[in-house]
Amino acid sequence: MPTPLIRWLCACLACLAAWGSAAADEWAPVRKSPAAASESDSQARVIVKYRSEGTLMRQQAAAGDARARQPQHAATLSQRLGITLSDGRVLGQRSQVLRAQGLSSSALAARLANDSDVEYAIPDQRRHVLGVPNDPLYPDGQAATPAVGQWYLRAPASPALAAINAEAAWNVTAGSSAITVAVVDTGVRFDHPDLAGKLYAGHDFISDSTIANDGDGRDNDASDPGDWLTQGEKDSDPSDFKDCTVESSSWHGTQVSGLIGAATNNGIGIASVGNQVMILPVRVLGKCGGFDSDIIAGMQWAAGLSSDTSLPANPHPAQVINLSLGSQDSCSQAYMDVMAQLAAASVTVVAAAGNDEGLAVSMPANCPNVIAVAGVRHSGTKVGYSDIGPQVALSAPAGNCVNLTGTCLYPIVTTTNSGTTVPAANTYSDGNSDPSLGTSFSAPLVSGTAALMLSLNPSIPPGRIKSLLQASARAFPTTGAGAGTVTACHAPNGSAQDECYCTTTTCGAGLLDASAAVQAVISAALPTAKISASATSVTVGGTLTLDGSASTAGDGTSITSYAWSLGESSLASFSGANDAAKATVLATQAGSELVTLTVTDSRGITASTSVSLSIAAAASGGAASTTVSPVASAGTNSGSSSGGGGGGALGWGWLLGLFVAVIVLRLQQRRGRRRP
Amino acid sequence: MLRGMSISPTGLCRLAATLAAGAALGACSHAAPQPGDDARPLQLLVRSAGDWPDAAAFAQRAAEFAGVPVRGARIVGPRRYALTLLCIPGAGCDEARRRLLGDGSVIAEVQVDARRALPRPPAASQAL
Repeated sequence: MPTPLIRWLCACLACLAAWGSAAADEWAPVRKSPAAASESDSQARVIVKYRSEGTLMRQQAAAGDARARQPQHAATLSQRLGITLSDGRVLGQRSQVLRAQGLSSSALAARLANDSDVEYAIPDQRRHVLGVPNDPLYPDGQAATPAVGQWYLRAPASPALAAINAEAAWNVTAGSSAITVAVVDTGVRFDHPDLAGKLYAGHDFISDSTIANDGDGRDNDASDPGDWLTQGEKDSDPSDFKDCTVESSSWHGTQVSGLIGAATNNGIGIASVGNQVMILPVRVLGKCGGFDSDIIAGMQWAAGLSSDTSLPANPHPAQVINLSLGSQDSCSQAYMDVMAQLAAASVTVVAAAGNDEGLAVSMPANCPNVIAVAGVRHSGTKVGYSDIGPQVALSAPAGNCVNLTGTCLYPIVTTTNSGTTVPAANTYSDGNSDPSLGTSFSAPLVSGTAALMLSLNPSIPPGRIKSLLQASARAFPTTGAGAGTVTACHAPNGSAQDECYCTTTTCGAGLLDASAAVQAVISAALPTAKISASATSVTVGGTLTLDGSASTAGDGTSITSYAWSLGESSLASFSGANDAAKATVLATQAGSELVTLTVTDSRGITASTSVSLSIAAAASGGAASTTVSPVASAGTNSGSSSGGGGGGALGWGWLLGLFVAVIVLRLQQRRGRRRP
Repeated sequence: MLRGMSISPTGLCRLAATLAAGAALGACSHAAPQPGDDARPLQLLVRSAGDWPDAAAFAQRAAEFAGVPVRGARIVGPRRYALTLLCIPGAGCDEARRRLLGDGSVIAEVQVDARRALPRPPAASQAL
């Protein structure tokens, strides 16, 4: 029997198989070095899985010694294919690596896939552990503040239990430059060195030149000239600034952009969640904010949906839009319309819940078709300033200080500018005079994670992104709050509500986990097989109908075939077809019979599950009865099959196993590379 | 000589009708609303019930409905425009908005083009 670790490893390889086989379509999940392609041009390495009912497996099972019962079929396949193959590592009872010289891995995989004994064959590609980014502000133990660096991106560990686990996510995908996140905000500092090469040109949608502060209305320049407001401006222009706050420039769009897409592993400044994804700056806020009409127009343009022919075409439509803006208001029809339009165009919109100290979720985060993000402290409790409510999808770190005065211990660190009015030096926020605090900064962590998910599968619709983020979120802590009496959060009631223990009705489904989110995308891409029975017992000679129609296809695929098979006990037979969603089994003798369902999806990925028919011998002259019990299927496929229930949705244990297996595999690869 | 150029009574009627229509159109254009001294800009977000060739054409019709000048019309989205009415704050602007909406057959929805801001920076006491 394979150990659990081997099963995990097989499952991991099955996932890699899924990635690999889909790469020709639109998947581009795992980073591969350019060298990997050239290596495979002349030295083929292919992972092969053999069909359980095939000739090779039958021969293998009948072999006398243990070694011959291993899947090592290079010799046989060499003869069949006319290629000199050599056996590589055994990966499971039906899986192995095959090697050949003089052709590419893809070419060999294609040849092998045509063999009737082969369930699938995929290139054994070289993967690289991305590891800890070399951005100097990333690690713990900083000499400057905050000492914890970019704590919120690392693995959750006490006391920073709210960290989003981005580092582990990057080991699966570092994001794709084909994915664009629009930052609908104050514009951006294009000259920030940590944003170099990560910004598209964008557009400035501010119609009012006074608010725009750049000498004109709408234009092609999305750069942020500063949004400071002086008392003198407020006094002299009450029509524009009557209810506004006198303040220094925020460089808000630059801060948000850095969190989503700052250049990562470039030895400069910070790492970003989105890592390799691109940023589209859309300037809609200037001095004292901006108007709905400009924000809505900017969102539509960002998605490539603008109907205004006076605007230039957007050559880089965004798949994700980040809205770290809003106010206490209900969602207007105009916002509902644009959110629906964006959802229909498969654009994911993420918005900040707001910083009104526990009041209701702000607009537009409270709109339908928006992923609203509340803010939590480093420990995972709601941070005092964050708004909450039933519209919140999930929560993410927003920055908190622990101290009332002095050094801010757990701020968000991101790109900014030191100018209090016009731009000055490009810098980073810190734990001293310039901490980044607010739900404005929890939303980009979710936007960046959504971009990573879309980097794995760009066709995931927004609703699915939201459900996967929620399903993969970690549970909120129920202990570990800061000083004082902290109770569970309650529904907003118009009064301030500071730190509290998040609940799923106030802070969303849980704490953002970027790693679990990208793993969820992988899992969701795989089919699952599920069997339900029409009855729990039948008499001998009776029939039992097994139903596989609850089996599920992976995201973006459909189930193309069902295949039912019986074990070798010959205690039952099929009464009718065994290649439909349902199959009827006729019990003929007492004993135990295994029935297996294998489903195949439109990508050719299979999943299997089994049930055991236990047919008890009847008392003399009496009838026998058949009971159905699920069987934990072992390493059956390139899809999944959780134990007990037979191929249900992937559980946490499986995901944990997958993660461990990925790490083990990559460590082995690294060791292998080090050895001559 | 002039017989060929004579105008029949029917033709005369047509000419008169045409001239009258032209005069009426001219009167309409001259009746375009003018801003009063006390008028202030009111920025609105408006959804039209039907399609319009461009924002300017829609703005012209909106001005006729509202009975006040309209400026700065922009396309915001499908059948959605930003308009600025020049109206007297208070009852004057309320009345102009009511007239603009009319029976909803041409302009389906009118709302204030509200100002949004960055979420306010949290106080230190809320960020512990």
